[in-house]
Amino acid sequence: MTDNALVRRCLEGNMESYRTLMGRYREQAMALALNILANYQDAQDACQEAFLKAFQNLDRFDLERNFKNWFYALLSHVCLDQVRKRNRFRHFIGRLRGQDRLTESVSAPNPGVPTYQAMGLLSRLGPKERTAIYLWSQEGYSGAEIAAVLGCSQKTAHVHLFRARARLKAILKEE
Amino acid sequence: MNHTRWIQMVIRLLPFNSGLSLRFRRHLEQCPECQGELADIQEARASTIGQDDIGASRDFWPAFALSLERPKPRRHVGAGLGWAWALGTAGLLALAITGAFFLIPFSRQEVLSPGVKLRVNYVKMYEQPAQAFIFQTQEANSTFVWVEKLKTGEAL
Repeated sequence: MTDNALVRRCLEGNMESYRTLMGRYREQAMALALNILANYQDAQDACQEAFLKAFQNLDRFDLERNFKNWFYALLSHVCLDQVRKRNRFRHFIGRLRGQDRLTESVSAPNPGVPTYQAMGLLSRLGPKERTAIYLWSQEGYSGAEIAAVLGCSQKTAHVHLFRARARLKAILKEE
Repeated sequence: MNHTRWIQMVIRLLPFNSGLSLRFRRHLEQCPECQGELADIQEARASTIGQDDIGASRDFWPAFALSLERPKPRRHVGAGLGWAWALGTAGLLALAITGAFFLIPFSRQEVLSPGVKLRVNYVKMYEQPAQAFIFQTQEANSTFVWVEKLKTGEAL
């Protein structure tokens, strides 16, 4: 059954269809969130929030559109929002400690929480660059699709992608 | 200028001019030298976390179902609106009290107890204690207060 058919059934009150949708995208959602946030627990929280928000706004979803892209846009928005909050908090704590800004930590806060080698690399890119490069390399998204997820123009999406690729190449050369 | 520096500059300029942007983008996609300065798809794939790296992710359904069962938090009247209500009520109350103070007729009888029409407890004249005499007419509704300086050596 297609995603949009599941959405339609969910709008008719069938909750199981939403459960199927969640199961269909939970790994991909986790991957996208992890690439943006570079923290396992934050990624889980973001996914949880995005699934809930998607459900609450399902009646606004245009059934002519692609559910995956719509959900990715929502999830990336939640993740970027979390990054902004984290930066504000870090800035605040940094000021309390008399520093301008604390250095970003990408290590997982608790032992037992999975960490990925790529997190170190990703932390050197901006959050929008991480989103763009993930969608391009892992999901095969075009510039237009990346733009739809990031909620920006196609040109800006290309800039994010080129910057990410250039920066990544430079990092890989350094190593 | 070598390609590396040129590419950095181009990428920085891209958002400002759409015509240039398209030309540079085409160049970046076709020029082998420029391509050498950009991570290719394999490198990018290896540097990002893919679905396969994660494995089976946590099932979000139980927590999701729980959050749906939980009663929705009551919608707050916006904080600003709440303050406006509080301020408005306080203002109206203050106006009512002020209005009452000025508009309700001042009645002497309410001030003085019915038995004693006027009582002078202590009077001073030119910063010296003085003696006060009160004359109240039998029928007329008037009272006279006479204050006299104490003579030297006289006590109250």
